[in-house]
Amino acid sequence: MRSRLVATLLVALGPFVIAACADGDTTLRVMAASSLSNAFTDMESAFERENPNVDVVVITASSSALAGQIVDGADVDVFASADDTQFARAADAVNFDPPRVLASNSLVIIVPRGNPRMVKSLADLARDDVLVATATDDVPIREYTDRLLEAAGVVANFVTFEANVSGIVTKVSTGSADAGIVYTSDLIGAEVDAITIAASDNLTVTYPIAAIANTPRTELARRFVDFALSDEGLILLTARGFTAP
Amino acid sequence: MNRHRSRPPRLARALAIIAVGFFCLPFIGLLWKTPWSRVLDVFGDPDSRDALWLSMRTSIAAAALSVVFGVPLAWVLATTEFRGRNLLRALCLISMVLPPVVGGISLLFSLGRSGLFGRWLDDWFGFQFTFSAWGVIVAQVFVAMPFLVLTVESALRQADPRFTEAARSLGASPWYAFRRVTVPSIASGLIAGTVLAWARAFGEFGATITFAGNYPGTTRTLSIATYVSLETDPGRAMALSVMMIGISFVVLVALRDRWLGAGGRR
Repeated sequence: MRSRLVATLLVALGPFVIAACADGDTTLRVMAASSLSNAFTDMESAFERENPNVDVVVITASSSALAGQIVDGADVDVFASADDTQFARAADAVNFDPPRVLASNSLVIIVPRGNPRMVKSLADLARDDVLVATATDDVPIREYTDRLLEAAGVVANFVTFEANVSGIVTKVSTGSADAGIVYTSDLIGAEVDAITIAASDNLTVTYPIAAIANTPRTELARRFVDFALSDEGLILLTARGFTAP
Repeated sequence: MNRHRSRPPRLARALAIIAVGFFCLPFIGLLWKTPWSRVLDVFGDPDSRDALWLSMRTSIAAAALSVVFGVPLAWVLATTEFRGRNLLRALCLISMVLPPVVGGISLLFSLGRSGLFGRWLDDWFGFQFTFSAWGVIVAQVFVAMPFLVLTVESALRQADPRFTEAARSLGASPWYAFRRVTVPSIASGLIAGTVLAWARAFGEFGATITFAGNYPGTTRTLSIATYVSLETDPGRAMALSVMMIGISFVVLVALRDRWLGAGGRR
């Protein structure tokens, strides 16, 4: 009985183990801010189509988490961050090319479908009956949110500090929170309504991207960065809600 | 059965030593890296104390609720024959093996403010689990109770049913016989199950942050505080990890010695 169980497990798991090992391609590890996740998945397929021997692995998390992993010695070939601070933190630990601006983004208020609390502007985020979700300190969206609210003189009624942007979207889309501030690009595919922030109050977020310098894969990493900055890359980025730098 | 216990063969002992090393190495690594000069400061700061207090309250409540509902469930599963019992058991235990985030999302869609059932709570009482300590407890019970059910059910299956039957034949009511005869005979299993459920609740992270959120004092448990500070202040995260390891270790050792120690079953 028991030996049959072990045999079954081996047969079931074997192919995964073999598939994980039998990979002769060059692997390119691309770390990207969670907001870039969909755009970079598209870029991964497009880049792999043009470079069949390259296996692009896209790792997404909040920029602060990624910068932390890079500082701790994680393998990385390309880093695209949602803010300059986290990029600089990573670049202090690892030698990157000078960063270039990949794309820009702006901020938007999201509310559950139908906007049950009738949120109309930033000022409404201070209301007691409006539960506002944001992210923890050091996640770029939180820093932008604080900057924006401070400039507008609003003290928001925060009820939760999520680990990343997708946490904010989940809390709002499920109606648990009544509002949140996220990137405009997060609207694509999210089950939420958007309240535009007046241009005078809004701010522009730029995404630095750079290849790692002085490694055997630097040249390939630079090709990926060039691709991301090409017209083709820009089309993929705009399709996901970003704007040209 | 225990009288003629033979030593396991050398290979088994060697493998066991590797297993022990595997469990110890991460802790040694953590303890080695921990900034000990800061540990007391971190333990004493109000944020940590809030998180510890919240974790203690919620995990004890979750363990208590797991006992209240889990013991009857284990009783039914262990002693009643009915069609679909295995399916029912799988359904009740599945949260144990699910990624906790999946549990958290499912709770949001069912008990969340606009969830299938949670919307009534909001309509009638203006209450929502999310962003409250109750939400933390619900998430913890959801992932922790199966550990108790599994342990108690197996203890019930191993217990000799003749004593309970004897009590019943002497006129004891089913509840009386269960409380006075069955429960004492499975005491060690019940304690072990409760401790396991408590430990799982105490360490719970994924379902909690997904379902309940993260706010100091109301939903930021010690595990969430640890995770959150890992990015901003790794030294603090390490000090909090040491705190969690210490508490869990003391509880597991103390209760194991008391109830399951030398000689096996009490």
